[in-house]
Amino acid sequence: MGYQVILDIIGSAVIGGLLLLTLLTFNAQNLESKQQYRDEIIAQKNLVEVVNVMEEDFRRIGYCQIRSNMALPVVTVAAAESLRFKTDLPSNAANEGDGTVDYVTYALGPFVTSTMNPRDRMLYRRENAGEYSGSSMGVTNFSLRYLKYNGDTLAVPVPYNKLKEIIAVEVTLRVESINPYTAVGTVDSLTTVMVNWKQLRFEIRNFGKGAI
Amino acid sequence: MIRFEMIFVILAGVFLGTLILNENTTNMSTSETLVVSQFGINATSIANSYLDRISSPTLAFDEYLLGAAAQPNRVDSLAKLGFLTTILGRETGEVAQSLYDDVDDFNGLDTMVVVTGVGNFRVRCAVRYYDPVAGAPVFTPTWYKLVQVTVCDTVPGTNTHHFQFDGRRADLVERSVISYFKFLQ
Repeated sequence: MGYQVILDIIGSAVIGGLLLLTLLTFNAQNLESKQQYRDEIIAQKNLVEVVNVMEEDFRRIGYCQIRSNMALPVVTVAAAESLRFKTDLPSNAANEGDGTVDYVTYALGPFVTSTMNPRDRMLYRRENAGEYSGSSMGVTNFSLRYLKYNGDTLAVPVPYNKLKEIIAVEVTLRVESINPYTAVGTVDSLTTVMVNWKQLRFEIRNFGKGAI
Repeated sequence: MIRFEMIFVILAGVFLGTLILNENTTNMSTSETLVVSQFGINATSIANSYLDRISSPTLAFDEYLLGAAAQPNRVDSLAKLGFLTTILGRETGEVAQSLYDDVDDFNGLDTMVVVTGVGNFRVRCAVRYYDPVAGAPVFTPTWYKLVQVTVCDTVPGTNTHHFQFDGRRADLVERSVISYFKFLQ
């Protein structure tokens, strides 16, 4: 076997090794990207689902089919991570409400232990004195601000005698992927995908009886 | 003399390069779509927030209707069409949004909203009188005002846009018609 052949073998082994290494790195990064995209799509879908339900409820704050049944304050609990308000929930699919005042509560619950993300928490919704319902959608932040007529923010928790001053609610929501992935080049650190949403104002349009 | 092995190596390199380039293009495209969709979610909620604010019952339909002579929120106010403001915009002293007291004070508003973790959004508002029969904005007063909110992602203090989609600026425009009749209820 001549000298040239040995050189060829060594050269092709080096080039082949480099190519293989490139492919392996590329494949790992590609897999990470795919997982990141998938997680982000899931997080965005979760966010939109949560927001849809919340928007439907928040737009009806203070609404009542029989207007005289609704009295101020329409928001009865206003804290940084929870809110309770009066509304009129439809009693069946055909109506917009039955004229009876209902109470809806939104509150950020405890950390979810069944997911790999250590930061996600339950976002609870409760109708009247019923069960708290909620699901693990990867919500890591749900913060509320309450605005007065002149745009000033009310300090939380808003005391009872100031609840009727609330004319708008600002909601900030962050949803993260519930199953973090290990980024290329790291060993133990888990990375999550975050999706943020902020509604500057949910204007309270129905002040009910006693409104100024 | 070029040997066959050399040709095979070159072909393999070209094939591998094409594969990697294609994959990268797909990844970049997916990434762009997700970023634009995240932008869209936030831009929509900001635009909705402004439309909510402008159509709020706490604002008068027109500056004139705030005056005692107009007898606001009464049916006889409807006879006062000729008195409505012809120059839409802020009145003297209305230097902050918290001081705006009627719908058209938002005309010409150009402000920046920061959403932590997402970016800076430039919000512009335009308010015009609207003719519901013609379905178009008009200059003469009517009992309808067309509100247009445009949200785009902008580097503060510049006209440079972060997000582009298909080579175009990713602006979001929402419109709403506000009628004086809703203020009479």
